[in-house]
Amino acid sequence: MNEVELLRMENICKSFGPNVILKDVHFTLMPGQVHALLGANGAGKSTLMKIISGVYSLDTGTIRIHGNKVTIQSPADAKRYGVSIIHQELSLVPEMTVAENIYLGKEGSAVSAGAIFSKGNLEAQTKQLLEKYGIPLDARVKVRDLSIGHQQLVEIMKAVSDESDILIMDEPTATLTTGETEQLFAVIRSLKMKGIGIVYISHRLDEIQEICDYVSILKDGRNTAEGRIQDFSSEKIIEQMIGKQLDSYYPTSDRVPGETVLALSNVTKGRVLNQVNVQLREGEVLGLFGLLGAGQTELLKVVFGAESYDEGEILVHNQAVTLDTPAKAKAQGIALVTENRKEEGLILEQGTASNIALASMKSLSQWGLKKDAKIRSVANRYVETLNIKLSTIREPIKNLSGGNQQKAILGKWLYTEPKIVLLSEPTRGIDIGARSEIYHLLSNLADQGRAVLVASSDADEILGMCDRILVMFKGSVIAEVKREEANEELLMEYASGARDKKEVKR
Amino acid sequence: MTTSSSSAANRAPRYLQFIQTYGMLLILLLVVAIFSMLSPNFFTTGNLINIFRQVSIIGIIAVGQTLVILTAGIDLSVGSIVGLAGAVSASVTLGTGNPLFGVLAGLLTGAAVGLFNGVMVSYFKLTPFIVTLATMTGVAGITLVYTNGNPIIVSEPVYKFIGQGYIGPVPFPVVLLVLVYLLFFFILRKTVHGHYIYSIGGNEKASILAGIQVKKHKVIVYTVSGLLAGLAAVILSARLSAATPVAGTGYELDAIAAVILGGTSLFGGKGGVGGTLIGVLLLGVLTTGMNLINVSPFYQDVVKGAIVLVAVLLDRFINADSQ
Repeated sequence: MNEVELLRMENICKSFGPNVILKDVHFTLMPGQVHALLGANGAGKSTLMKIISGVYSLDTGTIRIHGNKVTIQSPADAKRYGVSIIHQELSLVPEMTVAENIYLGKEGSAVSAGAIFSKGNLEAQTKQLLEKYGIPLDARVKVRDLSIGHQQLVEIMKAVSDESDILIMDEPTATLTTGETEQLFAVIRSLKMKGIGIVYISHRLDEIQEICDYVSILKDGRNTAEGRIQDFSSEKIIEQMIGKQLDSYYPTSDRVPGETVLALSNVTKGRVLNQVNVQLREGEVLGLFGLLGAGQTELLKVVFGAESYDEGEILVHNQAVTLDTPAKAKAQGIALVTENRKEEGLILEQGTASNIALASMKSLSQWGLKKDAKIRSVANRYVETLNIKLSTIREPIKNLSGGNQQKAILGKWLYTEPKIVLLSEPTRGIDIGARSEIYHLLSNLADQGRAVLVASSDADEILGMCDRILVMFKGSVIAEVKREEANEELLMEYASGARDKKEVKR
Repeated sequence: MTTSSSSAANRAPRYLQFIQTYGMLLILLLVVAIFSMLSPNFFTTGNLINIFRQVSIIGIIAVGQTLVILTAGIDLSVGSIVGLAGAVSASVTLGTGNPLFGVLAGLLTGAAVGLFNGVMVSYFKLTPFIVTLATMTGVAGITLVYTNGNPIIVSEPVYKFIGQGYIGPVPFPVVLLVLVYLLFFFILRKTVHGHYIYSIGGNEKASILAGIQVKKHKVIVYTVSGLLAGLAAVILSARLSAATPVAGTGYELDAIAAVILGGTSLFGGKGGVGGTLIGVLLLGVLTTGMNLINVSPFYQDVVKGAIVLVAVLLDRFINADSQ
């Protein structure tokens, strides 16, 4: 191509102490390109992006922006060269309006008339900007009143108004609904038209196929493959990322389910859950598919006693039970792996050993005293069997990758010997390799006769691992589908309410 | 998202780790060294024992404060508890003639206020700051009503021993101080309750979802904080042979300052009583040392305020890399 490259990184090396994180990595971004940067956790993609955005400095290598060699030593440098990161955690001021957020810190230059700050001017400019990219937002609305998806669009506009032409998006769709994702993609397409280059980091391969033009794959700090997206099937991408064949990505099993261990009968909670009936049997993996906000998360929390419900009955082993606290649910042999690891699952400052022990302190203590040696041996056992990668079991768990954190949470619950395992979005934000391990682990649990209920908005994984699938829509279980009969279109039709309610098999 | 690569970056070099862990201890030793040079009377057995006795009251209160702050709470009521529990303890000793009853009454008074705080925070879901601010004011008022604003003189010898006695060369309050620190060091490190204190402060939601009875443990923590303030009240009134209604005013702030100096995070989940002891000693050393070199009390407060600020800034600076 004759166009000047927006960004060209060559021979990038970076080590932390003895650990080589990046070795001779190269990365090129063209104007108007959406470039997927892929790799398992620890492959080095975050480090590479932190180098471009000035968080880390590089050991050796060159960075050229618009063909000019540059040195980026701070986030401010990066910003000056037109590099912006859209983080997973947004950095907006909730009490300010869309317009105020976009021009925050730039009030002096772009929008003021002399020294006097002009609100009208600010809003007019913002309106123009939003229209330019086809974003249907009111400049005068406060950010706290926007959905997460819309907040993200504001964040992107903030970067664009900085005249950034290199945007890095790190898992931009992780917290978005399907509709919001579509809207984001529309904006990405119009950014492309304006010649802005986008580095797109995601674990969702379907999205990458849809929105990206080009893909670069890293493994263990080296480039392993790159090319136009047309030349890369999802299978090929995964193989390049994990460096092995894919036939066993999802588990297979010929287990036969046993008796019903958990039954929900007409469980209703405000407008969130509506007359929900679920039968979960031992020795099966039951999928609960639904779009974000369809009620799966709440349903699991109700069963675990973390949220209350208004009506209905919950039976464990055919006994009606009152589960109004997580402690009671735990005593019934129920475990819940929540979708927000950091907010609801982990004690981030504590070590992996402490985190694994947390739900089982009764059996890991005597007369109120901790049995430290036993805690260590239990932790080491799970570190080994679950293949958790860490330096020591005392190292704060915040330093572990998402996949390893999730495995530690699974370890925490497995040690409680649960009969019923509830999981909500068990692989969100987790790399492919760890995902596959978690699928196999859950399948093994079912093979051992435990009952596993997985709520997910990822149709692929529901189809790949579940024996039976329930689809939720607006707080109701709207359909039950067998694994053999299910496909993504069918699930999406039910989940989006496009298909009429079918009688749920009781 | 944290990757294994950034975990390597988060691990600070060895000397920095050392400073992170022992920084405040180094500052304490430095301050001790400076005062030893400035005044020949500073580094003497007598003075050092004196410092420990001076800090024993704040020191014991600060243990309870540490527990509360570890759960991401705060207890502003401890100073007022010292006033009320001291008055109750002294008057019960006078009334019954039995110092044991007096001590128990003092401890129970403290525990009762703490229990109230804990129930309000846990079961009524009120902010710790607000709840303990209210009890701070309310309890101070109750003390004035109870005592009519007059001091209560106690001369019962056993009672006085608690504040004025010695075991060998060691003042009895210092013995109590050491015992309290050893006990709570052990509790935080080795017991399930201690483990839960850290997990609740580290992530309350996750703790609830792990099936921990978070409310119960928080109530215990506030009750213990009140109980320890009650113990401090007994020591103070015994030491002065009198309980004055305004005793303890402002102690909560000294205790909080000591906890922060000791490196316990106000956001909870990080820290411990070992650091608090260092914080308490640092404040005690500053007071005694400045008295010895005749710094005006007005300036002393300025210096102490500045030290707290500098220490926290240093801590922020040193730990900046790991965030």
